[in-house]
Amino acid sequence: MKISIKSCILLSLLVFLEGCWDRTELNDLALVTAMSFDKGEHNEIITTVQIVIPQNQGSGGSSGGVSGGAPHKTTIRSGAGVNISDSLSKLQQKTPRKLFWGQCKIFIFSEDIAKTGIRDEFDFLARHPQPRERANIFVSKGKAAQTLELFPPIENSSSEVLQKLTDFKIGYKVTLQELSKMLKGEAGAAAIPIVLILPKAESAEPFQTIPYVMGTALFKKDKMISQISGKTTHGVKWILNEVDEFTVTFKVAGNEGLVSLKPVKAKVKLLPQIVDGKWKMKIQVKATGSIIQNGTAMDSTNPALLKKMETAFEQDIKVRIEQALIEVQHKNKTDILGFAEAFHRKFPQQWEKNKERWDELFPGVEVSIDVAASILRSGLINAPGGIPEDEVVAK
Amino acid sequence: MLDKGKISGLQMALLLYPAIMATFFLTLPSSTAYYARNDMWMTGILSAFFGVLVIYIATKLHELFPGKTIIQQSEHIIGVLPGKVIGFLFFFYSIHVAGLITRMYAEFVTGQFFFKTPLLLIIALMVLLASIAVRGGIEVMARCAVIFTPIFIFPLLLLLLLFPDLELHNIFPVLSRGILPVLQATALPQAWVSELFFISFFLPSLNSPAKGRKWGNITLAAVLLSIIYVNLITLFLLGPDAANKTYPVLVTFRYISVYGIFENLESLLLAMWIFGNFIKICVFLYVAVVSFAQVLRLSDYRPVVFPMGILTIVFSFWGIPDASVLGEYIRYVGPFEIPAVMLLIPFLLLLIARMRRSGTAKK
Repeated sequence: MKISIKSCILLSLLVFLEGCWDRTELNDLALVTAMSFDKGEHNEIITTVQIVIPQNQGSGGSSGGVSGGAPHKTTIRSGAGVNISDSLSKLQQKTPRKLFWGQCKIFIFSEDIAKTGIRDEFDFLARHPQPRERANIFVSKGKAAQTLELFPPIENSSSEVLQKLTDFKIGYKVTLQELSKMLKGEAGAAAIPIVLILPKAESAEPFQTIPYVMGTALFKKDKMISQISGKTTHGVKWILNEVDEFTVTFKVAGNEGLVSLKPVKAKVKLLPQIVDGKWKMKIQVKATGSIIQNGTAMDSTNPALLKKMETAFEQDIKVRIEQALIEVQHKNKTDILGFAEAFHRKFPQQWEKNKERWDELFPGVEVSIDVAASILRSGLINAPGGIPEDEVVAK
Repeated sequence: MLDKGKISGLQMALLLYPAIMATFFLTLPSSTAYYARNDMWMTGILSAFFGVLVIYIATKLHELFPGKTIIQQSEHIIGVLPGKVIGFLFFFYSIHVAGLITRMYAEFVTGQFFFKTPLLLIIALMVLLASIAVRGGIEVMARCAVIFTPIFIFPLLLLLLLFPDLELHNIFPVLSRGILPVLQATALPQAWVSELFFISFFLPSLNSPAKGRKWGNITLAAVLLSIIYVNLITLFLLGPDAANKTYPVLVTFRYISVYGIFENLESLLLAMWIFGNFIKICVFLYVAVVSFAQVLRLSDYRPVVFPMGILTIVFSFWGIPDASVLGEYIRYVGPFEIPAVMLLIPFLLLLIARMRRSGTAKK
C-alpha cells in the first residue's frame, strides 16, 4: 500500500519535472546571429535578423553538388513596426521558427536611426532579457540590413566577420553594456564604431563580400552628431588607453624613408588639474614599440640614432593625439574621451558645481600632452636591410 | 525544544549564510547604488554593527534561558500572555517573509528564464520541497545546507573571471557627497543582516551552544565579505549604470566571457539561486513552524509543516500584485520592518530580562 502511494507520487513528479512549459527544441528555433534596425519610408522601424540555415552548416563536402557555388549559410528576414518590439512581432509572423537570441552578438543601427536618436531602441535592448550585454553595437553607413545580406567568402556569416574583426582590438569596439554606461555617464556622449561594406573582389559573386569596421560615430546624448575617420579613431584610442598591438609609422627628421613599429603598446593616464578656475588636462603617455620596418638608412643599433627615432616616435604620437583632440574636442565638442569622469573623480566638489555646463567647459579644457616613448628592440636584423654596408648611416 | 536533532556550529553557519544572502544579493547592488552610487561598497562595512548587535542579543538571551528560543524566552520575561503576543508576531513575520522570499525567487525565475511556466507552479514546487525538508527536522536541513551552500557560494568566485573588464577607477571619488547617502543605502543591507537573529532558533539545537556566538560572528563575517565583494564587482563592471539594473548580478554573470568559450554563465546563476533559496525558504519555514508550535505548546511540530507550506504559498501572492509592489516593499518597508522584529523587540526583551534579573538579585 505504502509503496504504491510512493510510486504514485514519484510518477506524478515526472510530469512536473520535465519543465514542459519552457522546453525548447532546436528544430523549433531560428538562430539569430545579428540584428539590424533601419528606418522605413513612413518613419517605422524595420528590424532585420540574420538567421542561420541549419541545413547548410555542414563543411560543404556533401552539398558541393548545388549549382551556383556553395549554398548560403544564412538568410535575412525583416519586419516593420512602430518600434522594435512591434516590428519583431511582425517579423515572427513571417518566421515559422521561434527567434532565438542566444547567439546574437551583433546589433547594427542604420545612420538615419542613429541621427534621430537611439534611446527608444536602446531601452528595448537593455530591458529585454534576451539581448546579451556583451553584444557589439555598430552604426552602419546606408541601410543596416544590407550588411546582414552579405555572404562572406571565408567566414560563415557577416556577423561572424564583424565579431572576429572586433576581437582584434585595432578598431574601436563597444558592447551593449559599455554603451549603456556611456549614455548614463557624466559626459552625456557616446561613440559607436561604423561598419561599411567592403567593395567585392571582381571575381566574386554578387553579395560575396564582408562588412568591415572603419571610423566612429559620435553621439551627443543618444543622437549621432557626426563621425570621425579611422585615423582619428586611432588617436582617440590613444587617449582612452586602449592601445594594444598598434602599428605606428613615422618619419624621422632629416632622413628619407619611414620607420614602422609593431606592436606598439602604451600606458596612458589622464591627469586633470584645476588651476585658478582653469580646467586643464594632462595626457601622460608611456609607449614602447619594436621596429618591424626601417626604410631609413639609419642603423638602429646605435643608441644615438635610436634616440633620434624615439624622439620622432614621441612626436608622432603627440600629433596623432592632437589631431584627435581637434576633431573631437574642438570640432564636434563631444566628450567621448573620458575627461568628464576624470574630473569627477579628482575634483568631485568642483564637478558637482559645474557639471551642468560641461558642454561649454569641455571645448575649453587646456590639454597638454606628455609623451615618453622608447623603442625596445629592432627585429631580426640590425643595420637597415637591402642596402650596401657603406650606405648605412651608423653615426 | 521540539526538535531533538543536534547540529554543529558549522552547519548552523551554512544554514544561515544562504538564509541571508540568497534572495538579497541579486538586487543588492542596485538598491545600494540607488543612494550611495560609487560608495555602495561601504554599506557592507556599516551593516556589520547591526549584525554584531543581533548576534550579541540572541546569544545573551540564550545564556539567560538556555535551550529556549525567543518564543519561550519572551513568555518567561514578560509573562505568558504578552509573551504569546510576541510569539505570534514572530510567527506571522516569518511566514510573511517566507512568502515574500518565495515570490522573489519565483519572480526572478519566471521573469528571466522560464517565461511560460506558471508562477504558481514554481512557487508550489519549491515550497513542497522545503516543507519536506523542514518536516525531516533540523538535522535534515543542516545536511542539505552542507551540500547546497558550497554550490551556492562557488559561482560567486567565477565573477573574478571578469577581471579584464573591471574598471577599478570607478570607485573614485570616495565619499564625495558625504556620509549621508551611504547611511541611507545601508538601510537595506542592515535589515537583511539583522535576520541573523534567527540563530535564536538554532542555538538550542547546537551540540555546543557555547560556540553559538563564535559561529554567528563567522557567518556575519562571511555575509559582510560577500556583500562588499558583490558590490565592488558590480561597481567596477557597471559603474554609474549599476543603480539602473533590476538584477545587476545577473548582468555581471552574463558578461563573463573567457576567449568566447566560457560564457553564458547565467544558467549557473539560476542553479545557485535555486539552491540558495531552497535553504533560505527552509530556514524561514522552519522558524515559522517552530514559533507556531511553541506558542501553542504543541507536542510535535510536524503536523503543521504542510499547512504552513500552503500558507507560505498564500503569502507569496497576497498583497503582491506585481513586481513593482515587491520592489517597493523591499526598498521602503523592509528596512524598518525587519530590524523592528529582529533587533528592537529582542533588544527590549533583553533589557527587561536584565532589569528583572538584577531586581531579583537585590532582593
